[in-house]
Formats: sequence, C-alpha cells, structure tokens
Amino acid sequence: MNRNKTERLLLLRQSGEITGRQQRRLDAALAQHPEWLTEAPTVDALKALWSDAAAENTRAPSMGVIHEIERFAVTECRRHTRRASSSMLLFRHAYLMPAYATAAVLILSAIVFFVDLSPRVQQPVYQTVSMDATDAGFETALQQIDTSMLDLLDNFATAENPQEVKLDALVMQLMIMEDS
Amino acid sequence: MLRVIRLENTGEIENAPLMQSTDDIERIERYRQGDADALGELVECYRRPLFGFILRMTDGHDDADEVFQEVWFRVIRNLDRYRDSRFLSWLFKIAHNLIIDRIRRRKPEISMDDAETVDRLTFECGNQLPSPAETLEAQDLHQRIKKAVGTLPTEQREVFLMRMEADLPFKDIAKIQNTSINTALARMTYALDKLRKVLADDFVQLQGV
Repeated sequence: MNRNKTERLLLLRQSGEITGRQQRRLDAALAQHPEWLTEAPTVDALKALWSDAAAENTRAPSMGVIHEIERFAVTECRRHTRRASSSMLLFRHAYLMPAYATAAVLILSAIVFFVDLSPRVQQPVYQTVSMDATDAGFETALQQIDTSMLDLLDNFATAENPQEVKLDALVMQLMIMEDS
Repeated sequence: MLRVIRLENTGEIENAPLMQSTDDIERIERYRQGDADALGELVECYRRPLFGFILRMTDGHDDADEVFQEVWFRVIRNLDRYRDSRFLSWLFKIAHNLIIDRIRRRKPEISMDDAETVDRLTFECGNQLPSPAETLEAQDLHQRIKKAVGTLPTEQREVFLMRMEADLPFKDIAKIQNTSINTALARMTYALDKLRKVLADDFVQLQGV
C-alpha cells in the first residue's frame, strides 16, 4: 500500500470510520513504514489548535440575524400550528365519516321503504269471485267486484309494463270487454 | 423571545455542547408541535460550527451573516421534510449548496476533480501563500493557520472545515459534496499537505504536541 492510501486510512481512523479490514491494512503498512505515522499530518493537534483559533468574538453571527431567524421561526411555527389544527379538525370529521355514512344509508333506506309502500308499486290485490261459464254468470261476477278493485285493475292495464302485471282470467276478460 | 437570547444572557452560550441526534429529533418535534423555543435551541447549539464554516467559506462577516440566515430560513421551511439522522450534516448540506451557488454566480464553474484546475489552483495558492515578511507580521499561529486555510481551493477548504469545525464523518462530507468518500479523503489529504508546507515550522511543533 502506498503512502497516500495509508494517509487516507489514518484520516479514517481519526474520524472513527475505519473498518476492521482497513485497520489491519493500516497496521501492516505502518509496520513496514513507521515513519509515515510520525510524518503524517497531526490532525488531532491541528484540530485542537483550530478550535482555539476559532474561539474569537468575530465568529458569532450578528444579533440582527439571530433576531430575524427567531422572528421567522415564530411566524412559521404559528402558521404550522394553525395548519396542524386545521388538519386535526379535518381528521376528527374524517373519523366520524362512517357514522355520517351510516346515517345517510339509514335515511335512504327509510325513503325507499316508504316509496315501496306507495300504491303505484303495490302488489295487485286479487279478489276471488265465483263465476259461471255463461255470460249471465259472468255479469253477476262482475257486479261482485267493488269499485276500488276496478280502479286498480284499470291502473294495471295502463301501466308502463303491463306484461309484467299478472292478471287472472277475470281481469283479462274485463280488459277485452273494455276495448270492445 | 427564543431560548437563544436567554442562553446568551446567562453566559451558557459559549459552553453549549453539540447535541446528539436524539436531542435534535426531540427539539424538532417540539417545534413542530408549536414550541418556537426549540428552534432557538437548535440555532444556538449549532451556531458556532455552522457560522465558523460559513465565515471561512464566504467573503467576510456580512456575507456569512446572510448565508447563515438563509440556511436557517430553509431549515425552518423544510423541517417537515427532515428525515436525516444527523441534523448537523443536513445543516452543512444546505450551507454547502448556498455557498456553491454564490461561488458559481461570482465566477465560471470549476471542478476540483479536473486535474488541470487542481494544478492551476495549487499554483495560484502557492503564489498566494504569505511571504516570510507577512508571516512575521502575523500576530500568532492562529492567524497563520486561518490565513493558510483561506488559500486552499474551495473543495479542499470545505472538507477541512467540515472536519475541523463540526467533526463531520467523511461519509457525510462525501454526501454533502456529492462525491465519493475516497475523493473526500483525497481532498483532506491535499489540504493537510498544503497546510503542512505553509506552516512548515508550526507543523513540526504540532507533531510534538
């Protein structure tokens, strides 16, 4: 290993970053050339001297700068805190979102339930009547159907999808009669 | 008023030790939660190494003040994004970027990795070395060291100061300079070599320390 590499390893050792393998290589190099260690820059001593030299008043930033940094720090801190509060508020509402969603679903279900009860979608009510095969018997049977039932039958006959409406033979015959 | 002022009034300011990363994280967290004093503590804690570094890398006190302020403004603005384990390295990275921007604005871009440039700057540095008369005029060894460091090329001076002022590991220095650890080590070696030549007699004394 040449001198340059040895000096770099010495620097690594001084900074505490040397690995075990590098340390072994350094030891081997210094065993061969012990003078490299004594001639190498004495970093620790130089550092102590530098720190000593650096301990002078002119190294401090001006108080105006420190005040400016403080002012900026306080302003940004307040802004950050406000932003954090807003986020927290949003978070709280987000936390209640499932509850809001459940309530909305319940309300919608209730609306659908009541709409289901409306006459338009109500299932047809069948009224059983006795009838004869003769026309006279049929007339008698018709008379037994109350008025509301007839209205209901009429509604089904004019519905958008009359084919879906299941009507018994009596209703079908009634429709045929009305058409004629 | 932030803690930095209180420290100064009580005389603690000169003895404030460098904090560990866990303290940094705790103070950053306190600041995020609305305690502005925590930032003052961070400023105070790293004031000396950071300002010392900036001062030796810029043109005088006013320039250093400006960079120092901008470093902290950027820190405050980007504190939410801070993820590094070592706060000091992050500070130096920001300072490095600002200083490099300033240097580039002043003169055409140069790279110390370019052998030709290294030779040219080494030659220029040699010419800028204090003459024997100047050396005699220097008040003391401290002055001579500072003057000698001022003659180092930018990248070498930067590595030297990061080691001397903040004791940053070479791994972090390499990251800050966006280079390999070997290049950072080489720059330090060159810097020490030049200082050894400039401070020939003083280095003999140093080796006896």
